Amino acid sequence: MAPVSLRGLGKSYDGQEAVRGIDLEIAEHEFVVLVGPSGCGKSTTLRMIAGLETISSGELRIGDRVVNALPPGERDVAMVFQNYALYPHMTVGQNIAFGLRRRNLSRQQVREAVADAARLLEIEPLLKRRPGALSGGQRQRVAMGRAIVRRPKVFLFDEPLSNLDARLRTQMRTEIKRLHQEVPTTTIYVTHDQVEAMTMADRVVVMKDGAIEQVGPPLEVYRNPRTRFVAEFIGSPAMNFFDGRLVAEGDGLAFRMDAGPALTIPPERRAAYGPIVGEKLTLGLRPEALAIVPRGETPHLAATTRLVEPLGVETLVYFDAPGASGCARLSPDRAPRAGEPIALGLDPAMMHLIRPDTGAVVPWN
Amino acid sequence: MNKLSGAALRQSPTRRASPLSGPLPWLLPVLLMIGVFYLYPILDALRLAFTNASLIGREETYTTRSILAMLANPALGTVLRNTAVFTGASVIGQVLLGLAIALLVVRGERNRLPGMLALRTIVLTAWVIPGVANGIIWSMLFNEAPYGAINSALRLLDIPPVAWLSNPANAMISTIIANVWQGTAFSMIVLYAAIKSIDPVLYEAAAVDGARPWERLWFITLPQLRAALIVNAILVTIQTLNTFDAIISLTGGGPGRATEVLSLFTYNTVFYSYDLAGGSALSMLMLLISLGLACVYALFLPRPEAIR
Repeated sequence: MAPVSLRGLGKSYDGQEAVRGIDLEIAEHEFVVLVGPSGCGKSTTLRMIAGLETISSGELRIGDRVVNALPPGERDVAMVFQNYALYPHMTVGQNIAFGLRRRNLSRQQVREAVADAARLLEIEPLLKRRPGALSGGQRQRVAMGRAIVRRPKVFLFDEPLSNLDARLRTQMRTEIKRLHQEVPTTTIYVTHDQVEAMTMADRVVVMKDGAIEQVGPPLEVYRNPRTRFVAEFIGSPAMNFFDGRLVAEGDGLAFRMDAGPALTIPPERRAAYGPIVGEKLTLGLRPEALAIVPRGETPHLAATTRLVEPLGVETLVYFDAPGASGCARLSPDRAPRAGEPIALGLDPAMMHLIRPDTGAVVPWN
Repeated sequence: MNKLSGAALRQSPTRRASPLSGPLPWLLPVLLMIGVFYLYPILDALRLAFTNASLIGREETYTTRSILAMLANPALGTVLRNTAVFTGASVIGQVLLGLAIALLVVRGERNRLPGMLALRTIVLTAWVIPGVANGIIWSMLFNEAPYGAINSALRLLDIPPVAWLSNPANAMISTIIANVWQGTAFSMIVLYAAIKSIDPVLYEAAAVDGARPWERLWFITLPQLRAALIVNAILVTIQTLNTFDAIISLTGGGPGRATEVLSLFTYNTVFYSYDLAGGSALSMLMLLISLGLACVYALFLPRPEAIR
């Protein structure tokens, strides 16, 4: 177990920069999730930490050692691959033992360690089977067993759940969290699924185009995204955006949508927003910041229901409004029918103002 | 689920009614081809072995005397020993050398070394050369006259000339070298394809597990190649057992019987001694040896579960 520190880490292929300037300090025992769309460099970053890709620039430390030049086997990391990468010709037991045998442990020690790992992952009955005879979920457990058994300094997970069906994915998600609680080890987990990132991480690292967009605890990133990209990527369904302008209104401020109502800015944000009065901005509101209000109440957004998705505990209502379309998260008993006109109230306390040119969210707190 | 639908299909009356139902019509073309071009000649050779047939057409009568005479032939022991040495050494040499070159080429390609395609092509050209031409090429290389290529190269290094072909002990080694040179390309291509199909992630997993390069070869590459190695060994063995064109043009089986293998002995029996019945008996023996060896190899094929 050790902290991991990435300082200005970069990777380029034939002059093409795939990853650049990654600065990240990962504490001992921390569970960090790298999340982003495909091609954002998250897997490349993970593979650089594992030693499977050479590091083009920057410095990587595991514990107090710079490991840039060390081969993977000497970095004391364990990795769970997307397609598990189990050795097909070995039994489950041999698969789990393989890494230990390379480290010159005695047969007795290896046998005990394998048995411990198998017990922890509840795969004892499978030890004599070969990977070909296992289900996807069982292979996943074996791959994790192979990682855990070595008690490495760092666990690396490369989209380990993406080959599983939805139910198994949820189950393994909690399983991985449970394991991390039982065997607290520094963990770096790569996924494109923001739900996995939100549910598992101590800290989320949102990446885009080879660079870090934002780092923080999941709820912090959810509540205070620093860019439009993060606001859009984290949270499902995605945030709604409305174009408009910030204007002075009486002794306060208001956001006037290009096609829609004006939204009074809460008093605590006035100071922060003061300097940008008059500018064209984009308003970001999460689906839960929208609610159906009586038609007479002002201000409201007049919209038409396009699609209704009842999920049981809540109902997602996709709507078309003048100049924008979006999604509202409503309680099931308040949900309209498709095609029905609705009046949507907007909660200014949950608003984000985004500069359309840079995509940066205007900070206020 | 699968079992259920399979049973349902088998019981389906509409499938029964079709005139093309059952496997036989689909297998018929293959059965015909094999029957005419393989099975009939084999059966005829088997029949001939039990006659006193000769190439100078005299009346055939059925007898076991030809087989017994052939089995009692004092040359047979030498020929079988030659065959075993020639085949064994050739198979081992071709498989090992083919594997080594395939590993080199794959490694070179992975490191984007230039010239890998050229290397592959050069190795393959040896394989395209007909056996007789191969024999002639090597007889020039091994030539013991002062202009013989290898010996004149050795002379430049102040090494005395070697009696490549005239010394019975060397002749077998020379024949094996010539045969391995030609046959290696086949193993190389088979194993190259097999190595390329190994999931590269396995090597990454092994690297993270701390396996050193030779451990990756031993614990990942070789087990993953097991099926390819065995199939390759079967094919190379059968090819080598049947090789006589290269030998006939290189040494003609000599000096004495030093390089006379079973296929050449069979050829000589039929076409020099006109003993069609004895040759047929020998060809049956060859068939039995090939089948026996193939069965032994097949025992070592991995179970399908382990390949997945």
